Order: sequence, then structure tokens, then C-alpha cells
Amino acid sequence: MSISSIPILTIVTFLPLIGGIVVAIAPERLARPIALGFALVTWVVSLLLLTGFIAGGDRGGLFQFVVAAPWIPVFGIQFKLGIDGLALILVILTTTLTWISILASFGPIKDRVKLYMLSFLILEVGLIGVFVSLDLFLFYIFWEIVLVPMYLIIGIWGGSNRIYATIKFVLYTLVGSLLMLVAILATGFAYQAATGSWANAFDFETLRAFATSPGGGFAGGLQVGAFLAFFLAFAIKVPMFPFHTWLPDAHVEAPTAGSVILAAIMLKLGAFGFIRFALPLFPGAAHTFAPAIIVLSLIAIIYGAIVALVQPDLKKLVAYSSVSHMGFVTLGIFVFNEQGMQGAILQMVNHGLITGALFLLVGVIYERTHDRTIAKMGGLSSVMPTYAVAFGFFAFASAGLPGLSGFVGEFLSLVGAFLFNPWVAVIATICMILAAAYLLWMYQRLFFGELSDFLRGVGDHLIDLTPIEVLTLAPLGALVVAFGIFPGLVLTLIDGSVQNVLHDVSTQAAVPLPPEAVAMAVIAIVAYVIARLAWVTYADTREASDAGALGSAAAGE
Amino acid sequence: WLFGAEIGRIRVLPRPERVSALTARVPFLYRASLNKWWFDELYHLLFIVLGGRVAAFLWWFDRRVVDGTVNALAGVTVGAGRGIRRIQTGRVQNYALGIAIGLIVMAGSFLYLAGR
Amino acid sequence: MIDHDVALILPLVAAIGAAIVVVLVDLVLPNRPSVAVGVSLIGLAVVALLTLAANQNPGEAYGGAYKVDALTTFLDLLFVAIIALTLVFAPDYLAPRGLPVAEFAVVLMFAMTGAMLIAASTDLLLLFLGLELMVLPGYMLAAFHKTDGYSTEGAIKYFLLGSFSSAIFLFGLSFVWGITGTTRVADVAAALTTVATMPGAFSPGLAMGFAFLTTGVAFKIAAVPFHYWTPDAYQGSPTPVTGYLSVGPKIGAFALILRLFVEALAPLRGDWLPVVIVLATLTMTVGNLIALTQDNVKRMLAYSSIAHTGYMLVGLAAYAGGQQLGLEGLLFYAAAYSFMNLGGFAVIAAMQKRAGVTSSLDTFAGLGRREPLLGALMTLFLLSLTGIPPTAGFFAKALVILAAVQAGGWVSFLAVLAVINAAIAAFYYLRVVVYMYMREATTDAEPPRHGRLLWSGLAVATALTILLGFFPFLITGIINQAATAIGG
Repeated sequence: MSISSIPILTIVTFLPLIGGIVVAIAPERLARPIALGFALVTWVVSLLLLTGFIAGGDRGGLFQFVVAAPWIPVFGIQFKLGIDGLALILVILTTTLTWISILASFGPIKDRVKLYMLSFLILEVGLIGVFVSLDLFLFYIFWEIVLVPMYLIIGIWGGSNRIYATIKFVLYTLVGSLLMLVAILATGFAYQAATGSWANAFDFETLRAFATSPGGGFAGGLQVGAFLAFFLAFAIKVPMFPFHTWLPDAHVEAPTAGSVILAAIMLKLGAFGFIRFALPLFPGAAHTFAPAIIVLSLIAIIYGAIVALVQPDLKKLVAYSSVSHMGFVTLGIFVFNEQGMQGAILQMVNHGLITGALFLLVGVIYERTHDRTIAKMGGLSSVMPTYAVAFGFFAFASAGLPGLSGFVGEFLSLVGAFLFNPWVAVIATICMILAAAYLLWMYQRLFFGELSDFLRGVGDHLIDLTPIEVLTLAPLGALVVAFGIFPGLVLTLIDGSVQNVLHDVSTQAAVPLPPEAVAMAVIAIVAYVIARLAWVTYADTREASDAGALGSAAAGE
Repeated sequence: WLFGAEIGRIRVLPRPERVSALTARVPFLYRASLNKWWFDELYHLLFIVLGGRVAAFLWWFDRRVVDGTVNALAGVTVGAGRGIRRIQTGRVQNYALGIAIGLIVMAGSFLYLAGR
Repeated sequence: MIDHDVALILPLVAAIGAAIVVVLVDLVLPNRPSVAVGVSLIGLAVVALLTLAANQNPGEAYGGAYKVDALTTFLDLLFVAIIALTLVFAPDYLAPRGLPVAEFAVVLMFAMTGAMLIAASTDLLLLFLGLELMVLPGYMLAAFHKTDGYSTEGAIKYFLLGSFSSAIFLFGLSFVWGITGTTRVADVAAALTTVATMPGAFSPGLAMGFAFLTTGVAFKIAAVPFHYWTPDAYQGSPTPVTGYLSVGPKIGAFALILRLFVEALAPLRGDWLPVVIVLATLTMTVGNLIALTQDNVKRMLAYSSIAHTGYMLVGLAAYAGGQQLGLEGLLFYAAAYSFMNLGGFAVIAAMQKRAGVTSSLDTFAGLGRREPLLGALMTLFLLSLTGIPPTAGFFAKALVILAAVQAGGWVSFLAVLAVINAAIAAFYYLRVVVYMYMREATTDAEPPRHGRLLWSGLAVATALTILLGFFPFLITGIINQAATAIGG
């Protein structure tokens, strides 16, 4: 196989970096085409991976295209890349959405184009790097690299409250990921302490073999601590309830393409981290915490959907729907069965495609009206018919319409949940109804009825989709249909990864926790929530009584 | 027809027999998907109860309790900084006093450590 | 052939000689900043070469009072680099304000001599001598802008409190001398080994000695609660001086800690470990919390330098907890911190080229647009100070944290505390980035032109910040030797 004789993964990972350097050197007016060019070439190269990837049988779960070189030999840290089916599909998702995002930014971004394109290309390096790293230390480095360009993208080209949103985003993620750094170092050291050698101490495959060896694995205490740290980092990224509040802020303030990448790829980093690292390395602790994580996922599914119902801002609505949809992902992962895991991964891909498209669509209307308030819209289908069709298509896909890809992932997750516990599935199913509710309601308010006064005021700017916008949406739509009709396309690719991680998880039973500690933690959380509720209610009433009748009316919004 | 499509999807599942068993075990869900005459109740539940009161409460909860906690953490951190900042009075005699107190505490702790 | 003893102290002699040469050159060609800097740089290069030459044939000199080992070499080279970078960054700031560059160079090089003496001393009295030789020029530098009220005020505070702490430190030395009966580091260590093995032998007198010594060095490295002088002295001093003060004397004082605590007092490290843990906790947390509330970048960096002291103390604690890796982390941190912090201060100094420009956050507004290169470099240094990979600052933190995790016990708690602090620090470092890139400039004045010297210095600092992040093994070898030399 000629493809596997060249270091193709290294090329895919660092091609955008070279693009970034070229963009930085080239004059400002060339920034757009150069960035798009490099993104497209990266995309093509990443598609080449598909031709060389052997999916069937056992090979699909093995890491392929592996490149490895010692980097910091004293601690066994390597530069090691490799992909299995899961990583492959996420890499392709990343490269696809990156060029789409760059293309979608051609119109909206007029200021500091060079820096913008540079940020996007560096962002792509970080994202791909996270998916292909096979060394924990290297993984962490890519994980952190992602933060900086996103920080700039939201902070420079974002909306009015962008600085609050971007700092919140960075600090929130940083707290989680820095604790993960401690956990990574502790894991490597635990391996070194157990084997007496730093050789390959951060190598994922070595650590996984160690962690899942019969009768072996990491000590219970380390597993619990490290799993919690990994969990925090990943749960913030997913984001899982109750670590999700950075997401609506970040989405609302981010420029359209930033929202697309944020929703489509960055949220997947957390779910990917669970499947790739947290489960295989700490299977015992994963079993310990699985019930709690399932409960949190269920809360996220329902809570996100209900809160989405009342969002006045289009982007916020999609953001909360993301919380809900990503709940299916974590639910599917932590029920530890085949259908659940398959559903989770499918849902990751589908959510990437569908929500990415929805943010693009929201960006379209924002470009024309500079507003995203649902209440101001209405009757759009009469002036923008193509837009209405496209929006309808992706809204239905998001709601889980059978035949489109969103359905398969959620359905498989639900099957997995059902096999785990029927009641879990019943609760999660309610969400599918809620999702249909908020999406269709939003659609109705946007597109049906008379053209609203606000939109009338916009007048001639209200043109239908431009060719570039169609070009950005069409590939996503095609994939949504393709994966909806032939989910096997994805399922065969990821089958090996799914079997591997399920096998890894099955090697250990739950690490027992001291019941007193669990009870105290639960009591502390409940007590905190009650105290916070009481304090907030008290603060609200005091404010209301201070402000008089007018204030109390405002407080009861 | 919705469930019909689901059954059609089962073919791609690796273990169809488990899924069809599942369908048989929840006739309730199957019946519910056919019963259009629950629609009015559903509408009421969705848009009046959930979409109205429950959603309003949850959104309030989201902003004030969940997000409020995050912002409160940040606020407490900055507040702590403001508080501690006051030790920096700008007067050299206060600084010298601070160092002297630090020295005494240090001597005390070393005496304690030596006496262990 | 020259005497072996003389060969070993040759770098030190050369440093003093170079300083004198700069004085003489300034007499002949007065008010020629580029000449003064050029001659100084040549002198520093000679010192660096002689340091490397001395390392070829390491050993003790003058009856064991002076020692050249890997640690001496590493620290000497680091000091040379710090002084060279400071010198390169200074003229752009000093010249427009009419401050003499040659004098600045001379004072700096004398300070370097003191630091180099500390790095090579294996005698308590010589250590004290080196310490004073290092900090006295520091007082002068703080007051370098003598017509500026803040500069003088900061310098006087620094001087008064510094003398106070030096006296405390000397007092501590005398206790240790009195109890062990020797001032040689090796003999002190041997005497304390007996103390460590005999129950009840850790006498109150020795405890007092430890308390005085710890207080003295805690002041010099600006550890909380002995840090009071730092913000005032840093903010008042001319910016290049602040850059130097936040790095040079701090690392010099850490050299003192390595020679004194790690070498001489090592047998009792289990006893001073708890104190270091408390100091590290306070230093990291308080430094970061107060830095959070600052609106002046110089003052903010002053507090953040306190926090960085805390991270280095985590390395020391890890060593006291039984991990030699802690020392390696400390040394790597010292190097990384020097380059990124000096780089940051260089950017501030460059922006203040026009007299009257303050170092408040508003000055940085719109820098990313007005001076894209300067803004990008500042961002890099700030990211490195935060500890975002792939920068030197990240790897430094990772090493220190790894050592702390290995040490176990309460030191592991320091690892968690360190990363939480890093997250807090991210807020105030990134706030500068917010001003540079996300706010519009408050002034539309033409940005000043920066000298070629400054750019080349910035290039060096940038290269080192990035290189040490990507290829930390460039210096981990010598760091490992240095740590083995004292802690192995």
C-alpha cells in the first residue's frame, strides 16, 4: 500500500500549520484564497486516509498509519500519531468543516482577515492533533493549542459581549484541562512506578495494555482521582450538565464560523476523550461513575431541550439543543454496550454535520438582518424560499427525522440505553418529542405567517442563499442524507474501535467508593443547591422590594 | 409510520434479534406513536406547561444557580484578591512589621518541627 | 600554566574585568550607548566562554570554599544570558529619558558577579558575600531614575527592607555556624547528618537558625509573606530594571537556596519541607490573587513574579519530598521564566520608548493592530507565562508538577494547587491579550521605531521560549547534571 509508506498523518496534521505560516507571510488580500486552498488540500489528503484505511475485521480497531519518534526520551514522551476508525471519521469531519467554515467566513469577516485565517488554520492543527495523538503528553499539548485560536476568534470577531464570553470559555476549559494534566502526569508516573521504567510511559497503547491487563491495571485510588480529572476536562468540553453554561455564551458571541467549529468539532473533543482515554485507561473508575454520568446525561438531554424551548435568541436555542443532543452521546458511551457506543459515535458525527449546518443557517439570517431574535422574525419563507427549504431540512434532521442521519444515532443510543435500563430509554425518548417541539416551533415562528415588520424594514438585503452559502451547506446536507440512509458507512469504520473500547471496559469491575464519601458528596451538592436557591430567591426579592412594583415585574420575566 | 421506519432501520444493526425483542417488550411506546388523539394533550403539555412555566423556571435556574455558581466563583476569587491586596499599604514600617511577624511565626514553626 | 584555583575563578575575574573595561570605555567615549552595550556584550561573551572552559575541568578551589560543577556552569550561563538580554533591551528605554546606559551596564555586570559568586560558593560566608554583592547593585538600579519620585521611593523601600532581611539572614548563618562549628557547606552537611540521625539533637538554637535563614532567603526570592517590597520596587523602577529585578536577583537567591538548603541543610530536609510547602502555597495563591486586581501591567507582572516564585518552590518541595526531579524542574523553570519574563518586560520597555507612556493596561489597547509583531511576541510571552503549550513555560510547569506528583503526600496537593493557580493566572495574562487584540487603541500616535538591538534581543528571547517548549531536552541534560551535582 503506497499510502501507508508516506507519513500521511503527519502531513494531515501539520499541513494547516504550513498554511498558517504562508498566510502570515503573504499579503492580507491573499489570506482568504491561501487559507481556503490549504484547508482544501488538507481535506483531500485526509480523504486519502480513507483509501488506505483497512476497516474490516480486527484491523479496524488497530491504530493505522502510525508514526512514532522519541521526543523527550527521559520521560518516554513520544511524538506518536495513529488513527483507528473513530479518529479517522473525526479527522475527516474536522477537515471538512474547516474548509466549509473558512469559505463561510469570506463574506462576514472583513477585518483582520489574515489573523482570522491564521487562527482557523492553527485551530485545525490542534483539533486534528487531538484526534490522532497516541501519546498522552502530546495529546494534552494539542488539546491546549485548540484554546488559543478559539479565544482569539471569539474575542476579536465576536459580538458585543465577546470578551466576557471568550474569557469564560478559556478559563472554564483551562481549569478542567489543567487538572487533566496533573492526572496525565500521575498516570505516567504510576506506570513508571509499576514497571520501573519511563520507557513509553505516556504511550497510549502501552498504557492501555497495562490498564486492561488481566488482574492488572492502575490502583483504585489513582483510577478514581485521574478519572475524575479527565471527566472534568471532558465534561466541560462536551459540555455536560452542569458544566455547560459557557456554551450558550460562547455560541452567541462567536462569529458564525467560530460557532460552527465550536459546535461541530470542539464539543466532540470531550466525547472523543471519554472513548479514547478515560474508559480504556481507567475502566474500573469508569464503572464506578457510570451511573452518575448516565443521570447527568439524562438531565442534560431533558434540561437542554426544555430550556431550548424558551430561548429568544436563535443561536442560544441551537446551543441548548447541543447540550441536549450531546447528552445522547454521553448516555450512549456510558451504558457500555455495542448499540450505545455505536449510537454515541454516530451521534457525534451527525451532531457535527447538523448543528454545524444550523449555525451556518443562523449566520445567513444574521448577515442580512444583524439580528437573531426569533420574535422579530416571521414569514421568511415568502422572501427566501431556498433558505426556508435548507433550514427546514436541517431542522428536521436535528429533530431526528427518520431517513436523515440524526435519527440513527439517537435511536441507537436509545436502544443501548434500553438494554441498560428501560426507564432510562423512556426518559430519553421524551426528549425526541421535545426536540421536535422546539425545532418545529422555531421553524414556524421564523418562516410562516406574514413577513414581520422588522424584516420588512431590512428590505432589499433579504436576498436568498448566495452560491457560496449553498456551497457550504450542500456537502453537509449530502452527508446527512447519506449517513441517514446508509449508516453502515460509518458503522463499519468504527466497528473495531467500538469493540476495543467495550473490551477494555469489560476488563475490570467498578472500583468501590467509600459509601460515606459518596453520601457526603451528595449531601454537600444538595445542600449547596438549596443554599444557592435560597440566596438567589432572597436576593431577587430584596431587589424587587427595593425597586418597587416595576422591579418585581422585571424580576418575574 | 414513524415506527415502521425504525423497524426498517434495524436491518443495519449488528444484532437485530435483540432489537425486535425490544419492540415486543414495549407495546406501550408503539401504541403511543400511533395514537394521534393524544396530540392535544401533548400540545398542552409541551407549550403551556413545559414551554411555559417549567421552561421559564429551568432557564432561571440555569442562569442564576448553575451559571450563577460559575460567576460567583470568579467573583469570590477576584474579591479575595481585592481583600488580600490591602496588606500592600505602601508604608515601609508596615512591611517591616509584616516581615517581623512572619519571622516570629517561622521561628515558632521551626521550634515546633525541631521538638517533634 | 595557570593555577587550577585561578582557572576556576577566571569567569568571575573576567566579569569584574569586563565591568571595569566598560567604565574605562565610557570615560574615553562618553554617552555612546551602542559602544557601552557592545563592549559589555563582548565582555559577557568572554565570561560565557570562560565559564564553559572552567566546566571542562571542574573541581573545588581555595580549600573547598569555591566550587565549579555543572550547577555553577548552568547558573553562570543563565546569569550571563539574563544580563545580556537586559542590556540589549535597556537602551530603547533609558536613552530617551536621558539615563546613562554605560553606568547601567556596569552596575548590572557587578550584580552578575555577585550572582556568579553565589552559584560557585560552598562556604556560608562566601555565600553571604555573593548575596550582598548581588543585591547592592540592585538597590542602585531601582533608584536609577533618580529624578523620578516613584523610582527613589521604591528603591528606598527595597534598600531598607533588603538590609533588614540581610541582617536576618546573617544572623541565621551565625546560628548554623555556632552549632555546627564550620562554615564549609560540606562540613555543615556532615554535621547535620549526625543531627538528623540522633533523636532530640535538632536543638532550639538550630531551629532558630533555620527560621532566620528561611526568612532571609524567602525575602530575597519574594515569597509570601516576605514579598512586600516587590510591587513597590518593581513598579517604581525603570522598566528594564524591573525586568532584571524580577529575574536576576530572584534566580540568584534560588542559587543561594540550592547551595544552602539543598547542599548544606539537606540532611534535615524532612524538617524544612513543611515550611516550604506552606510558603509555596501562600506564594502561589496570594501572588496570583493580587495580580488579578492590578490594572498596571508592570505591577501585575510584579505580583505574577511572586506567583512564579511559588511554582519554583513547588520544585524545591518536591526535592525535599525525595525527588531529585524537583530540582531539575526548579532549574528548568528558572531558565524558562527568565526568558519569557524578560521578553515580556522588553515589550513593555519598547512601548515606553516615548517618555511619559505609562505601563497601564490602556497602553496596550489595540497593540495587535498598531504594532502586530510586538503584539504577537507579547502574546507568546504571556501564553508561556500562563503555561500554555508548546512553550517553555508549559514544560517548566509540567516538570515541576510531575516532580510534585511523584513526591506524593502533601507535595502532591501542591501540584493540584499549582494548576488551579495557573488557571487563575490565565485570567490576568489573557486580559492583556484582550486589550491588545480586542480593544481599539486609545491613542492614534505613530508607534515609536524600535532599535535593531531590541529586535534582536526579542528574537533571542522568543526563540528560547519556543525552543525550550518544543525541545526541552536541549537543556535537560545539563540540568540533570546540575541537579545530580548537588542533590544526587
